[in-house]
Amino acid sequence: MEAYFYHLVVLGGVYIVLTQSLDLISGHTGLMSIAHSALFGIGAYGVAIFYGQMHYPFIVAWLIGMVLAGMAGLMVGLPSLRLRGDYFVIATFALQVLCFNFMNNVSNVTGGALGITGIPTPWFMSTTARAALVCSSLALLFSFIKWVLTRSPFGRVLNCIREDEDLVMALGRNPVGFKIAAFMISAVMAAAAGGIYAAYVSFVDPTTFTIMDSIAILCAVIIGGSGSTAGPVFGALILIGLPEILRFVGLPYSVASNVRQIIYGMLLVLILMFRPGGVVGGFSFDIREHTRL
Amino acid sequence: MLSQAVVNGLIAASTYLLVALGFSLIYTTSRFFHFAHGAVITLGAYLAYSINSQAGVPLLGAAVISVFFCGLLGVLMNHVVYNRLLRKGAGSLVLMLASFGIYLIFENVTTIIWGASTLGFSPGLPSSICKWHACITRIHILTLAIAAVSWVFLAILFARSRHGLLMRAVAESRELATAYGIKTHEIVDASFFIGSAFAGLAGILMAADVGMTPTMGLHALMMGVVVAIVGGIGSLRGLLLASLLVGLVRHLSIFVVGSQWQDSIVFALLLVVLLKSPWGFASDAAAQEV
Amino acid sequence: MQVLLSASGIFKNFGRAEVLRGLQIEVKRGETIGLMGPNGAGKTTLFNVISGFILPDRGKVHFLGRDITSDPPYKRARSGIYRTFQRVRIAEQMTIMDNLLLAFQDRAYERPMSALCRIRDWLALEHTWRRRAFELLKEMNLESEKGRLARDLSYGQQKLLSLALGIASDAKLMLLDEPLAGLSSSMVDRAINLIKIMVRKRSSIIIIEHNTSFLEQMCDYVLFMAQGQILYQGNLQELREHPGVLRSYLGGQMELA
Repeated sequence: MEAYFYHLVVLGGVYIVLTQSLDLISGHTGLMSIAHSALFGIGAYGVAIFYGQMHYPFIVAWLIGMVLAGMAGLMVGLPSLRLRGDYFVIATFALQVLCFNFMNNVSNVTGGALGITGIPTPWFMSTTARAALVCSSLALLFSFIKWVLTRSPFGRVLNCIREDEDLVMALGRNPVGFKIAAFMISAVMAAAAGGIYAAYVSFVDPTTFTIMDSIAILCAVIIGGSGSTAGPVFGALILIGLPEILRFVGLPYSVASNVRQIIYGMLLVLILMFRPGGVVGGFSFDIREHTRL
Repeated sequence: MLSQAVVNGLIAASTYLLVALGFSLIYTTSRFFHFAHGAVITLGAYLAYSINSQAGVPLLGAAVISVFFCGLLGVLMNHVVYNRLLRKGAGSLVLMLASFGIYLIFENVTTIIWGASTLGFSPGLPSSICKWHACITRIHILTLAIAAVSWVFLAILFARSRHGLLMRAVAESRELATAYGIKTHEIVDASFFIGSAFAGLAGILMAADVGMTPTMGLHALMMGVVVAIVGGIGSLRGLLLASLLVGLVRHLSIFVVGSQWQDSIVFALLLVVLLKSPWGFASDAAAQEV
Repeated sequence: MQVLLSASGIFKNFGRAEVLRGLQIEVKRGETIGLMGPNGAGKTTLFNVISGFILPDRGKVHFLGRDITSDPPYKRARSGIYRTFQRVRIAEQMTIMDNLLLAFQDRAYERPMSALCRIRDWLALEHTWRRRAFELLKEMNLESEKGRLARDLSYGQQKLLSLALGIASDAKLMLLDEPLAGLSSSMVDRAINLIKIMVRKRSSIIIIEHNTSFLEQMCDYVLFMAQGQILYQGNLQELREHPGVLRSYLGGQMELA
């Protein structure tokens, strides 16, 4: 029972980092991405390859994953210089698919569809209690970092980019640098979560990083409340908690994941209809058209 | 070998065209990416399957009924979700997110009802005609024909009929059309009906060829979206050319790279088009209004 | 007096429409200029060209003696040009205070690294900014609303806020696009009050406005634009008797009060 609780804390922590990182770009900068699980995956594969297979120290592999994801984040961010709103979402969709295909097909690097197994557990995660401690402190740390960032002058400009890019320019800021920075920070955070996740579950395979996972993360942020600190936490808890609740209710394993996704879908539609700011009441996307066609 | 790839490309192109036609028809009147279109594709196939094998209706009849229901399903989605969101002032991004939600619901309901494994219509693989080292089945010929007929149907609808004129008016500006007394809701519903019927049709044809899975719609939709964007949404000729381009690129690329990279190439194509698209000019035009 | 802004030989076509045709303008430091003209004369386009949102087809724009013709809008804003938009543009889902804080800018503290590593520094800086912003809010009678979202303000208040952003940004040149249009009379007084603060701060101001009594009260002189050129420059009294002006207004939609 205790181990089960710690297990949930670990997953919760990982997903809080993930949703917070996505919220930095979607909720604060107004650029919704559905390539986030790919960035998460890059962090996970970084640890799997450099720590699990090449036996670099964990911290080195972790950092390599973050740097790689930072570069990938740059790639995801680049379309945002030309595209907004739904067209930008489509561009991230394409990048997510490309990234997934890379993980799935380049077998000699990523292990292909089989993935990489047998990643040794690093010493600081040797028991589930320790892992829970590490993950919850990471969740706290990254939530704090995001909180500070979004309240700083830097974050204020990000928020203004979400509102009106011409206004940002009229007030003397170049949106390009801010967007790219936001994407890179977000990607690094997502990769940090991915690296810890890979070390914890000791294997990676592409099915964890699909377009559906990306959509689920975005759903979580929007359901929880975009552009706030508590919203993504709440969203991550739904993401982790719902499967457990369904298991508790006694739903057969074969349909549990389907029922879970149905509930995500319903929650998303209902939230958009009746509480566009999310449960916590953050930024609501309905107020203004984000596209200018 | 090459001729077979070309034939496969053409057949793929016709299913993509069918999907893209419906998708962009809905986009022209509603101005958002209707991702739940993918769910309609899947459901079209499964409904036809159930009506055929469980209710015992002959396949052709089952297909017609299923296509009709798909049209209704599209209208229903529009009424239950999108219209309500629009009334609350939702923009295209919110509508698109909602369509993700609807897609999630439908895909998983489909999986629960029919299971995740591949199903096929009862007659099995139909006989095929071979010539010049390429084989083509009757389903393939039917697919090509239906795609062509649908394209011509829409072309005539838009160019000749009063209904097409009204659709174009709504596409230009929903508010203006309403102000001129056009019943925009009916026009939008009609586009959802026709568009979703196309989706169901595409689903049935694909399922008749290679069988059906609950995720088939997503993949078909992705290709349809690529076609719609590459071709330029709303341009029928663009859609036709883009569907040929995407279908052929996808099937000819296996001579250059492995078949596992087919999708990557198509999406790389999409990214290139997106980044160099006329949408960039559109944003310049908007900048002039400030 | 020092020349702040000069633009010469500005041409701009939109498709076939010639919106600006060889326009010349010179603004000295501390001047307040009214910009009048019938609709479609190219007034807003001129603002867009000066603030960099539109690049001219031909012609040069100099600001503080520097050629800024090809600078992007944000660089011009940094060098001291602020403009308002005809349709009010503020950050709707940010608080009023945050809107004002955006107008203060210190780029050293806007990097993400300094946001994280120099928290105390930017907090101290923001403290002074907040005080200045609060002074402005008092001028607008909005000091009790500072925590509300800007979208909750009335149209008039939003317009005041967009003027206040200019004051907060300490711009040397303010381009105000119809700052009084659509305001109730009490709001007009507050807007004039804000514009007077700009004048007191020795900012140069160009105001697009049709309200002549307001222009008479505020402006050193007026410019009259028609068909993409400056037709007349001088005081309002003589403007009323200028034959070309009368002609272009008789063809236009407005009447000179």
